[in-house]
Amino acid sequence: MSARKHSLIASAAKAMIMPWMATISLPSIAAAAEHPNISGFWEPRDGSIQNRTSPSLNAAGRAELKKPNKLNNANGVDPVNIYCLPLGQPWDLYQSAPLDIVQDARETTIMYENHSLPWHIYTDGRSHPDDAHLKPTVSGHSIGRWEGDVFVVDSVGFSSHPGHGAVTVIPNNKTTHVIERFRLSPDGMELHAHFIIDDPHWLTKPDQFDVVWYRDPPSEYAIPNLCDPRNEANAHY
Amino acid sequence: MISSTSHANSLAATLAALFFLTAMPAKAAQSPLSGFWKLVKREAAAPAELTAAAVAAKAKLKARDDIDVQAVRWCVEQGLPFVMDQAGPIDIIVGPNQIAILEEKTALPRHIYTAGQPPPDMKVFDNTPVGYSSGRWQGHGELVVETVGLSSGVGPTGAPRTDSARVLETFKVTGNTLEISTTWTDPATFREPYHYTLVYQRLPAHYTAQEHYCDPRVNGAGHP
Repeated sequence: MSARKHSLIASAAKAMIMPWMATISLPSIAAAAEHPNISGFWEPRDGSIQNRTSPSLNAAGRAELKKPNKLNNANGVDPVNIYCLPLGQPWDLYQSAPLDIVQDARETTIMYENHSLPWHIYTDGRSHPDDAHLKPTVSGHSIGRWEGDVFVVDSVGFSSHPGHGAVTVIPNNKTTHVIERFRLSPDGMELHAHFIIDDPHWLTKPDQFDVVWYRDPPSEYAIPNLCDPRNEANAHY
Repeated sequence: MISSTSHANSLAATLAALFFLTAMPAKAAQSPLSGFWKLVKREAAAPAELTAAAVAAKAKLKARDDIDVQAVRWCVEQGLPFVMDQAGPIDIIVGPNQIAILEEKTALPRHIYTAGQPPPDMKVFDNTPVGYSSGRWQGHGELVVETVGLSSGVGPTGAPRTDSARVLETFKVTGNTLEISTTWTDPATFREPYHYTLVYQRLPAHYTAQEHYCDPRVNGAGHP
């Protein structure tokens, strides 16, 4: 079979799967190193969060959840929305907006459209700092490594802020530990992640669930959701 | 019974998988642009020449240099030019389709699309503080970035940033130095294109990004 026929069949196959797929440039799905590259815009759909059950809270976790928060506050007021407080992972990862992932050999970042702080996932072989040098941050200190075709991200050192945390609305603290395992589907059109959220301060066992995102067309671009606390419209969500 | 459509889909999936797998090179070199960079110098050959309208508008802006003092106080994310010269060290990540520029202080990340993505229809594009940036590589490893679609705000030297602004930047890495030659063209603000150069030094390889968590309820929140 000629190269031309190969090309035609490949083009037809791509067009059958996604009309825009034929327009993807090769580097867009190429690897930055010897690993798959998960760069791109990824969007969740209905049912994207899978295998999720209620977190197994201990007594402290149950008591914390009874405190006023955006889920149980009758008037629906969320301080995070009113004051545009920055969020981070893992919370932001399973919201409705697309993710924008940029991966190179040194670092991977995952950007969100809502008000958040940059997430740096270091892939240069460094370890987590020791406790004396660990400065807590919204998304924690994150290091990534490849286990075959699975991108494993390990995060510790989360800062504690009211309203949002790794475990529902319970604030993170020094014992919060998050592991995400990202994997591309064989056709490169889906991104799957398994989440393991552990925090013995609040949980009797790690909270685990899965999320799947779908690749957006190459014409997708970031649309930042700007938030200004001087805007009274922020008061309710 | 397996339908012909199923066969076609199966063939399509297989071919698509091959398409993706064959697209993976054995190893790609890391771009020298990737890394953390600290601004060490900002120089302009000539002062900005503002239009009369811009002089009047600038007097009403509560700006210091290119900082929107009130917005930063209230933790509102800033865009260009603040991102590049006021927001702490920048972190540049070079992906296959896009370059991300992250900053430490209250500012939006920059997304520079480098794979020839079709630009959005600017008639329906919602302008933002960082606009829409397209990048292309040219000789000697230089990256040329053009930005349009900026929202109104504070521009360079505290002059107004308007939605007619167009920013052209050339990124050039020499050893551990990054030089970004920047030209703002905006007939509403500048009588002539305003040109300046930012010079950065590479930070050590294991530098860790600092976080400036901004809560507007805290006195002096964003420290303008």
